[in-house]
Amino acid sequence: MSELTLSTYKSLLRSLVRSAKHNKIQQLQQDTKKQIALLTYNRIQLVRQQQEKGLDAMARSKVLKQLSAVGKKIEILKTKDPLKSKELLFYSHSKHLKDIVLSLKDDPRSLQHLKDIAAFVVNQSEYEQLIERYNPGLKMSQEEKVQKTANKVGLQVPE
Amino acid sequence: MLRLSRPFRLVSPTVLSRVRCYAQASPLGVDHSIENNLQTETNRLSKTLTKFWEQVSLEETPENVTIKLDSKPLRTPLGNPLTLPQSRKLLSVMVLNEWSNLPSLSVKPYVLPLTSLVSRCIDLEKANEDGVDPELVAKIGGNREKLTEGLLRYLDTDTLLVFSPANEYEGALRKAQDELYLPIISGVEKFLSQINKDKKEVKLQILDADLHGLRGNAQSGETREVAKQYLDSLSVWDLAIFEKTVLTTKSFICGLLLLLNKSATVTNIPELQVSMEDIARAATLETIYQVERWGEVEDTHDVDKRDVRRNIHAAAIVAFGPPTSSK
Repeated sequence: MSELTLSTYKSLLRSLVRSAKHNKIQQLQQDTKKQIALLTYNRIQLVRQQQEKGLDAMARSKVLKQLSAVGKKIEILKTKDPLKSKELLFYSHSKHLKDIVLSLKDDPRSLQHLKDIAAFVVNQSEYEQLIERYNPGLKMSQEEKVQKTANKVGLQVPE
Repeated sequence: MLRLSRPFRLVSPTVLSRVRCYAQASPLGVDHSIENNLQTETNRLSKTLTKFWEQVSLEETPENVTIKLDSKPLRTPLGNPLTLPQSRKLLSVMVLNEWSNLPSLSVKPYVLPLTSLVSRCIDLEKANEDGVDPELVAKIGGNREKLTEGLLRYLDTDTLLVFSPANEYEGALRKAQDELYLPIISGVEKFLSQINKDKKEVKLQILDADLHGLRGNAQSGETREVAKQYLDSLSVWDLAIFEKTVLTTKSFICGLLLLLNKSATVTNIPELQVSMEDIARAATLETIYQVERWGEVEDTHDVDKRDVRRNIHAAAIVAFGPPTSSK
């Protein structure tokens, strides 16, 4: 790879990573939410087992151990900051992309094309962010929408 | 729960939010494709607007690359697998990127521009094969002839052929138009003359507000004929890309510039060698001067600026590379 191609490739990777960040954070947050919900369900199941009568001491201590392990996992997930995730710093298909870039001809036309791809990625993500900013309703959940609509006419949704 | 009575057509590329239509027949740039209930991934996404897959991947064979959702190939609205030739590998990575970057749960209709354009290319190609079901052609909103006819109308009122009065914006806009448009116009005239079968020189009719005042613009029959020759010479993929560019820029010439710079048919006319940013600037030149004078309107100018550029670049990404194996 010539130096010029390398620097163009690097800046393409940079814009790919940067523009994906916004969506990645949302993905990570939703993932964490899902995991927490699953673990909470596990915990409820364990608590139920624990309350069952006729459980011998061995089994009870085992359930207790599991319970504290699940509790710990939930705590860790809750304190995890998606903004600090290492996933945000990498482009996940970089090896594949690199192979393709290497197979390209080393001419100005291909270089310009890599720059155009970077420009596309940047413009697309900026466009998405602007649309989101000017249409806050897009991001809201259904409950939030109902709540805000009710508030607008002086009503409140029952808890 | 709030439901949309008619869901967004997520992957139909011809959807344009604002379409200007004049007293002519039917408006252009409107999605004429008929909604269908084929069980394809793209349709499912456009109807439910929710993420229903876990993994996106690429499957490569010696000739093709297919984008897969959870081990099933991604299919276009008309049910064709989203398969790209090996020569468009870079594009396949970008489509993969689009799908793997979707923020889950609620998918917005504007986040898949590449998938939408590629789907259009593939579906249009299938709809133009010989002996195809006329229903299929109707579903995609007309075949090649209909498309060509619609696109030719943009040459009459091309953004790059209309010049503003010299006294507007202290002459600054007209000066910029002269500098930017005139070389391109003469380059296009040269190019069209080169491909003209009759070997005659082709002239483009411009609309100068100072000379012609307020009236419509129309090209001569000969010019239209040559322009039609050019469109007929394009592969179906290039035609779909051309359509996307023309609908974005409202300019036939911009479509020509994009293909000549990105697709396989490279031109040797120096005036026609422009960057994608140049095309975007030429297409929005008047807006640039309006913003300079009156200020930028939030939620309009800033959004439109990105919209034009993302669409032009999306078309460029799909266009890049050698033509597909079909004609």
